[in-house]
Amino acid sequence: MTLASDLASAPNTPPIALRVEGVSRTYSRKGRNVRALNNISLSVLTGEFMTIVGPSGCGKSTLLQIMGGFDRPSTGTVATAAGPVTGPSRDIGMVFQRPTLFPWWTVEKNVSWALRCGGIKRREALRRSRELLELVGLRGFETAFPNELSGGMQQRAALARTLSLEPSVLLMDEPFSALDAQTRELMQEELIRIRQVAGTTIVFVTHDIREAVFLGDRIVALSGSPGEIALELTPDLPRPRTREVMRSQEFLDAYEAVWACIRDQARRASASTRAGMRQGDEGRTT
Amino acid sequence: MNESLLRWVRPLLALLLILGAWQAAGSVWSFPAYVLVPTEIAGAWFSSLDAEMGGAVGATALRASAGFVLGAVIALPLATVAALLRPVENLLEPYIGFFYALPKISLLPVLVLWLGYSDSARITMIAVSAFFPIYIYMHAGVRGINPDYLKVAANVGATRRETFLRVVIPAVAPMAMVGIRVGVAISLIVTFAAEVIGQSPNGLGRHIQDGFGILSYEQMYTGIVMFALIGLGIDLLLRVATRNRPSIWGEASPT
Repeated sequence: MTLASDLASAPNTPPIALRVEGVSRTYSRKGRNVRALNNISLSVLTGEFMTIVGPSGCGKSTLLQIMGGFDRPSTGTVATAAGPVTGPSRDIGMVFQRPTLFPWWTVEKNVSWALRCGGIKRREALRRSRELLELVGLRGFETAFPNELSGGMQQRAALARTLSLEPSVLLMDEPFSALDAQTRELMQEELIRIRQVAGTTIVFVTHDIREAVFLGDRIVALSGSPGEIALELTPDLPRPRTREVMRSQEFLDAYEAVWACIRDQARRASASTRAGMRQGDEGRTT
Repeated sequence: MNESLLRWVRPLLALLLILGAWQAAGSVWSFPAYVLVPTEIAGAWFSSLDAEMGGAVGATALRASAGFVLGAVIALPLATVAALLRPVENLLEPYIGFFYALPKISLLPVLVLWLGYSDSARITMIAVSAFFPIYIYMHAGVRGINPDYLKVAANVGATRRETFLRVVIPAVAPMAMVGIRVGVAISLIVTFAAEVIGQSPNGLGRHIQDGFGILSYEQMYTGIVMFALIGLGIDLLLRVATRNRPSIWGEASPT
């Protein structure tokens, strides 16, 4: 209903791929209620690359899990063009922080299984998985087992598997945070290239402000305890992004704006970690 | 010399070194009659290879396998169901906790009272003993499945059946294998005890116990060697049966 009216009222903006409406999430921990997310509303536009950034413990991962249907909001709703999100589905693909490939299968089989689960015939599934592995730069590694690949290559394979679902939204949960610095930079550029080809709508969660500003068409900064949208930013940076934009004034301004917004949060979080206290993470309770 | 050959040669050399030292010690000092040197054991072992020994090995292997298989066939599905369904877990937990720490062999007299000095009693004894390690490992294996594996399965739209067969079973296979290997070892230990205490008319336990009774040290040692060979044989069989699945042995590290 709301999706339809948005479409009607704004003919020049792309349609909404995923809408989060008034989402809150409360956990009960040691008999106390802890509010991880507070009244989050945002719309991901079709074809958009949205990055969500925030200090650790701000609930950004929880928000992504809720978007993917892996967790339920305490209040509020999540919907795609296909309808409300009530659980995980092929329509919303998730790339996890760890590659999470099945170690008992080859890379190719990991991808083709995902295709087969969508009802695609064996032969076609194999053909498509080879295409996707080529797209993510894993040509020649089709029959390798996951443990024979580096962390970056494993994450490429996991990306190929998720792309095989042809999801209307691709969610990525700090997918490069477990990689070394050089591989991470390479993977960021690779992701930009793959997205150019696949044209997927992406929501990308990270704690790395540079990464968030470099990748995102739109950057959403969350403040922690409880997680609330503190800042939404659409910097005017050229696309497709290249490393050069990092030296532009727009990039630096955007970086500073996000950093200023979450600095206090980050400082408090790290101070409370150092003191060995949990209060900073748990924050206000309801 | 290539790497795979070295893998065999090194432990073999180490074995020969120890056996050689043992042998040499035997010729320098005179050991008491109940300590045999390797050549004596080997000689006795070769001359013991007759139909009677074959019968003893067969009887023991049969008992151990029957008990082990019975224990495993009950433990594997039960542990899986208990790890997945809370009510089943609640129902079983007190009994598992109570019997786990109990020396299972202490149940043998009870079983003999119920079932007589029979193979039913002995095999039940072995099955009960093999059950627990297999159950415990399998339970921990199912509980320890990476939750992200199940999220991936849900994301790609795998059916429950597909998820169970293609994700849950391969994921627990390494832990199940550890449980099975421990179960095999326990089965052999308890087979010996069940044969001796359970008054078995045949089998390696009987063979060794008889050797002890008539002070025939050769007979005791040949029985012990045979027991070890059965254990080794079963382990080799497990290896061959799963040779196409290196991840079961933890040789392909999970991601």
